[in-house]
Amino acid sequence: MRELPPGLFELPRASKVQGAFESARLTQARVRAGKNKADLAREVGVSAAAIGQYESGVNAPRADVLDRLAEALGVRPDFFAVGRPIARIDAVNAHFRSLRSARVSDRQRALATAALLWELTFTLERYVRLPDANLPQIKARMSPSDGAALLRMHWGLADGPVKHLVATAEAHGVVIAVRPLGEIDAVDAFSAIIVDRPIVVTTPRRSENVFRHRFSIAHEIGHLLLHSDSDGHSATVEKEADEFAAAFLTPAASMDVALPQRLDIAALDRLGRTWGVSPHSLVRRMVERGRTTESSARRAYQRLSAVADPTADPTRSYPGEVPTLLRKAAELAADYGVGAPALAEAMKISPGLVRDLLGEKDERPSLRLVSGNR
Amino acid sequence: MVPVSPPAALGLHTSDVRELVVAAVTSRHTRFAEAHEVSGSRYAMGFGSQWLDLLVDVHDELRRRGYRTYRLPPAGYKLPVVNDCLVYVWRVPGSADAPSSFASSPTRVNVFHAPPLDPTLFEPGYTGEPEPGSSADVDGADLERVVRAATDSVMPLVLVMVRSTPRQLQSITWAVAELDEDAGTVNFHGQESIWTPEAVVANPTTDVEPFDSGTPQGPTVEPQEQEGSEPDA
Repeated sequence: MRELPPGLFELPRASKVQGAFESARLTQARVRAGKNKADLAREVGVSAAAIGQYESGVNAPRADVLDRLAEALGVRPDFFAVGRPIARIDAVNAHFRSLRSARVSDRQRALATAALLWELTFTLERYVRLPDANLPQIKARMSPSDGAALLRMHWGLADGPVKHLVATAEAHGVVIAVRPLGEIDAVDAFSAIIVDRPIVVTTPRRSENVFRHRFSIAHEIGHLLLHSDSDGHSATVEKEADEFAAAFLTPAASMDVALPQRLDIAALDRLGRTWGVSPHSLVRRMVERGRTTESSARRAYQRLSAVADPTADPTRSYPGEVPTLLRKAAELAADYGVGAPALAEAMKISPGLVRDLLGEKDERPSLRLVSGNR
Repeated sequence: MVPVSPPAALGLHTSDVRELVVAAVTSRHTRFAEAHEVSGSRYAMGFGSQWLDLLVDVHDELRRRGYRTYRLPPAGYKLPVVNDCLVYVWRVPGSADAPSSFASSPTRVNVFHAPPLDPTLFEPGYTGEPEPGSSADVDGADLERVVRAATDSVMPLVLVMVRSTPRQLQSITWAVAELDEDAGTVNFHGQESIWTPEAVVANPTTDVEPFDSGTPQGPTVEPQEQEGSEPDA
């Protein structure tokens, strides 16, 4: 009899292998650590085939191997235990921004991060009620611009610039996280819906500049709306997500009135600062709206590149564009006695990793044992 | 008989020709304005050289839609013929009496003496359907056109006048132009504006609240009512 494919959401169940070992946890921890099976096997002192058997549920590691696996992967030994819900990374549909550079292992590593973010969200929801996910149902083959108009209406946004995009999206139940470059830099930004919870993950490279950050977030929301049923690894869906972002942030009807008659960089800069988009995207919009030509746009991009300052307009200067949902929830949970250590215990990870997922810097001093024989 | 206005001259094709002409002129202006800015030129001669492109752009667009061509001697400019009328796009010089001095060259004088093309029963174009309930009648209009072409010795001229500087496209107007042979000046019938910049040059940011204005209404979180405070509760 054929085995059914893995479900997205695995509830606590009897172990597939002996003892209480959850094989999917090993995969999750390994890919998140960015290690392949051979490397991990060498580190732990078993064969690569053994790691494969652990992950496929054919076999379970002995207790001493389990400890070494935990140490090598930076988790607690009981992280691998059954009994907690797990979002299986092999069953998550995600859309990755950097298609060309993203290797499978990079994508899996990013997905492991998304799965952990979902688990943190799930754990927090035991103590804190978060906004329900509130995304409209999109009809099949709906155009990106129609989808953008529908979302504006669904979220009750007035005509004009989308104010405080990240705060608005979080208020409608979208979990947004900015993860360190080393963790998901190869995929740049991505999104997934895990057990009805939309999650958008981006990097400092995308969020460095607030206008780029907003477009990137809108792009990922476009994926969540338009491509939730597809695996999303094509240039076409990326183009559609870009069209969605442009239509959502700068609707065509508004742009037909607001865009200048010709490529005036200063005017576009002023307009961009009102609508929260870059002059680059407005130049693109001028081409789309028939205000200028591709060749003129190319020259405009060159001029913009010549004067661009990547450090100008950092996202951190715009409170409405900085994610706060998970941190707020954690603060409220802490007020009720469930701090980072308790969350860590529930998730079987370290408190430091919980703080890291919440975007908090661990500012405690690092302590180490010193010899008393001086 | 000179038509009283461009709509009277162009008939059912009026709105389509107006839209096409405006699109062609604004597109050409944008490119020349951009070129002027990139060049950093102190002078507007380069910008002014768009006049021939204007003629060609509009001709090519109308030609693509099936309208016929009249070759204007002696320079040989190709002008589109719509509803048995010539359409000529002209960037007006800055001097005050410029419009009436349109006929300042032998070629432009000849535009008032262009004989009708051989009549066709059906005018080409991309519309031609009257609005439902309209009194316009396609067969009647075609018949009138054929009769007019047979009786008139010259084609009426719809003159599109463009006023612009490298900084701004200022206006596009059109009128039926008639040459006063004795005075050498041009008179206009039914002159009307078909594009003005007012709708788009008003500061678009004045009435719009910026994306970062106001206090963000972030997500609201509340304690769960049914859950205890212990992690495994």
